[in-house]
Amino acid sequence: MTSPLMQIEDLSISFKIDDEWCRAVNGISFDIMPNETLCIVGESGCGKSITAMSLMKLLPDSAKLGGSVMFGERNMLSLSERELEDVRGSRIAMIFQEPMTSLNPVLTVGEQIAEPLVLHKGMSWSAARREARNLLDLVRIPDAQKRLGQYPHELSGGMRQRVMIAIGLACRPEILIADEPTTALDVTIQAQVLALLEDIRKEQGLSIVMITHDLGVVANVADRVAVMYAGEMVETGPVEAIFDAPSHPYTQALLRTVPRADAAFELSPISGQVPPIQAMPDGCRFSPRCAEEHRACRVTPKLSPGPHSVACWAREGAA
Amino acid sequence: MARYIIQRLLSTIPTLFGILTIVFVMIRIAPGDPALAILGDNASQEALNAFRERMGLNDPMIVQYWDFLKGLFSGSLGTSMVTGTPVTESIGEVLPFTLELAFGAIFFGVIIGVPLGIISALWRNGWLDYFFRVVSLLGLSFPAFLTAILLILWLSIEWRIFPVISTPTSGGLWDRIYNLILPALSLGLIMVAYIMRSARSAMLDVLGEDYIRTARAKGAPGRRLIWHHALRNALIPIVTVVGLYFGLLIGNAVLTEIIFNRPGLGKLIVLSLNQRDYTTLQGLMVVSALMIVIVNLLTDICYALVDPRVKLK
Repeated sequence: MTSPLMQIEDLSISFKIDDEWCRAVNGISFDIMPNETLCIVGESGCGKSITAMSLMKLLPDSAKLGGSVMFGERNMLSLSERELEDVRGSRIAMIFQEPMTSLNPVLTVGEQIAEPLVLHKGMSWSAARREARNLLDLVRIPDAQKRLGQYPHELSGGMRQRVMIAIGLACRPEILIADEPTTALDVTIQAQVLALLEDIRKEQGLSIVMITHDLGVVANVADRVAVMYAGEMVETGPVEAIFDAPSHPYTQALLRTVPRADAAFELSPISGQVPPIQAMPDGCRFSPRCAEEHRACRVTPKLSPGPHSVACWAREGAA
Repeated sequence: MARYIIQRLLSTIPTLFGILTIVFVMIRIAPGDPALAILGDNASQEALNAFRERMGLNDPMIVQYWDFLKGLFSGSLGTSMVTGTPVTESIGEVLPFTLELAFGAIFFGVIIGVPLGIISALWRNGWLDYFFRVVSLLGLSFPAFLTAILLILWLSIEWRIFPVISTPTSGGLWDRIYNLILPALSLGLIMVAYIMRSARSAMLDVLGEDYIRTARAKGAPGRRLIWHHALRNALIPIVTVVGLYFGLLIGNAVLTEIIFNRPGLGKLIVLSLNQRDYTTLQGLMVVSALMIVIVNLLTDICYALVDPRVKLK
């Protein structure tokens, strides 16, 4: 059994809202294994994006972090800003949802790709620019030489996301965090970008943490899936297990919200709404919307051990 | 680029034409008689009449206007009613002083205002931020002449660093600069307040942008984030403010030039006003308007230099 690249233990993220600390992420634990694609899924506001940001400690100072994010021997959450700068962009890289606004409008594409190489590998700008050219080839941007001198506004959305990927891959990181990388793109471009990420992962043997709310994306690329609801992790497991035998009532309900082609299938939205962060119910946070009931629902359930684990009292011993 | 500049300059002709007409009319409907002002109360009626005749003041206004325009198209602004020297000559003599004063003021405004704005933005709502914001408010509320007098009291009389009267004597470059520092600083302090405020808010906007997060995710250190990634973007609104307040600067330069006893357009304006020197006044207005137009053009060119999304067409 290979050891995990990164171990997230009891991670919690709190923000101050109206003078009160609210836990947006409530003690979640998961591992990132070498050379895998881990998808973190959940509806908007479930805390998946801030979870991703906290892996590199990119959240603003106003966020209070608890637990640990072990990367090798080091806990990312207790590193100084100086030490974090060494890790960010070199060993862990991140690409974001909005390719339109995530690139600096006044710097050339070449400079933005070359920057991490200069910062981390000590390359000269001219050497880094040559490497940037290769990276553009890697992300399959045609006419790379010309693109280097262009500005982001001269590129299409899909191109820009490829440039973001090139920036992320520049220093050959061990982990690439992709926060909804395809949400802002056209469907055809989405497929291309996902295929590109998958190919690169296989070629370079890195791990990808993909944050998404799109179960179609998950089915396409994931090796493992972690399902989040209201700041908690409710189920994790291999992608086949999650899709074929979803265990947690929320995962089951989530899968029923995806349209399918067979006539017999009927879409059923999840009833109710995610409770506001200031008024989370005690115990299982899904219980107010859950069809099933267990006498222990008022107590927070823990993820069961094993490769396919679930945090639900009604499934205790079943998964 | 050259094509753009020529187009822009040509397109300002109607604007200039309008300004000229308004100035021409306003000077003539203002109370006061140049002949009387120049020749004195004791001048005989014949002398006054002769003067008016010579200067074309007896002609109908439309004829005077036509003569004025004719002169303008041949590159002449006429001759001074008082001294008889060509107006272009007397303006040309003092124009460099006002230009160096204005650009010196912008220089001080930018090198003081931009860093203060950045510091304020970085320590948003900290005591330093409040302190700078109060100081900039004071700077805005202080009349320019008061700041100038305080600076003279403090830096010239108390500490004896700079001359009280900033009239450049020898033609040496160092002498020019030395005599420029205090007036430019006092005029620049007005700019500081405006620039600081716009730098602060521009910086706050930019620091919240997604691409700053991207730069952090790359591992760019804080210094580089601010000076390389953020400032370049924040410069765009700052350039606007500098261009916009250039007109204000020219207006305030009048006071500064008088207080520091420097030659310049401002001093010439006041002098010609007192003497009812119509022709010189007209010429001064033409030059001031032209300066504003050119600064607007320079501002637009600066946009294109700072922001690659702006294309000069």
